[in-house]
Amino acid sequence: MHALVVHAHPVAGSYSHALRDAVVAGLSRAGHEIEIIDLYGIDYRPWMTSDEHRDYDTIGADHPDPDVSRHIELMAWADVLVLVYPTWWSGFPAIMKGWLDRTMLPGVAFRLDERTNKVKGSLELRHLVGVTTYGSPRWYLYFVGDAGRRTVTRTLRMICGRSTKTTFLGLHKLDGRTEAERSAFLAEVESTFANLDSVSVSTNKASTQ
Amino acid sequence: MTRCLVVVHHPRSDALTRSAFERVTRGLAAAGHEMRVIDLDAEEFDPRLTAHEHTQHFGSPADRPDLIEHVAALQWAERIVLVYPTWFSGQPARLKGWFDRVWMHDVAFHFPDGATRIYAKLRNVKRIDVVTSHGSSRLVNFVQGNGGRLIVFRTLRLMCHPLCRTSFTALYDVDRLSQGDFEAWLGQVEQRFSR
Repeated sequence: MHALVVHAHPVAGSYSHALRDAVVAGLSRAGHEIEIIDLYGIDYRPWMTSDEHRDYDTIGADHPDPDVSRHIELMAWADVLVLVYPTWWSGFPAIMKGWLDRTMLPGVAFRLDERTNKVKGSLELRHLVGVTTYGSPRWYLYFVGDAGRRTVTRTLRMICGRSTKTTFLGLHKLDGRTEAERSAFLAEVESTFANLDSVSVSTNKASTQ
Repeated sequence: MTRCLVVVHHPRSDALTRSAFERVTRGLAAAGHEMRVIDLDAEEFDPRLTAHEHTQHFGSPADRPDLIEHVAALQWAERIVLVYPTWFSGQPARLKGWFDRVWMHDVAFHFPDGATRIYAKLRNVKRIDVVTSHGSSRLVNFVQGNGGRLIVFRTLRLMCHPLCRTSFTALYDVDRLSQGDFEAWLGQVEQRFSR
């Protein structure tokens, strides 16, 4: 399969980078082709310009920003989309949220039904996966609602096809974790990606550790 | 008379969000409130939390000279009004990044030595209002889980005064509405904020 890994973390050498490496290691062990978008690495601009918003309905066909047009090509190529990010204020970092806003355009990720003007999803993915870390403990995320996870497993999932499998892996209370616990989660992530083909049902779980 | 901080974001000057913003400010002025405005587009706010900001996560706002006015406004406010379009069930990047960067340690929360969790610090904020528009229906947003609303009314609100009140003024299905529907909604917005 073709796997597109989108990663957002500002600090090189962070645990999030190790998670990204674990994702890539697992995918390559299983023989998948991999493309990585390192949003901080390419200095990605996450906000829409006035012109981009004005041309929103058609801009996906020939996007003026070379980063975005490349990402649109990669979305057409990908069978697997993996988002690796730290959860900040229970949501995506701005740079990752903006990647959705600017890449998931009409004609790319969905179309608007001409008659009803309703969104019809058109993301032809086999797997949609979120990998994240939280500063807070799990009960806190239940209480505040875990908006970032909902963005992956509900909002993005809704514009995917029927057969798309969704997987979500999160490590809670990152700052209180021992080296052993961190390594164990990396191993869990790597093995999940090495065995993606055997994922037959959607799993939407946080790490049990 | 309340000290109100109005934060607005929409890339286009002719957007419904901009009209809603005008009605909010008109309403607040009519009610005699004090107001400060942050227009994230006018000041070309960069929403990307930097590597320095991340490594100095428990640092002080004094280290962030570029954010000093935002911090001062946040600490001054008794009421925060956020005016933005909802995209992919959440705030657009520019506003999410304003949370990521400005709601920082020693401003929104603090982490005392030896503590195992963060503590709320924006006790001056006693009310948060959201004014937003959705392309999709109320039902679709419910199924998607209203992530943007949760971020403001739960996660951020927990950093504010324990009795902080909230209000949510939203328009759904905007792509299927007429100019008349917009006008009616904008009228409601102005009325709500002029009380």
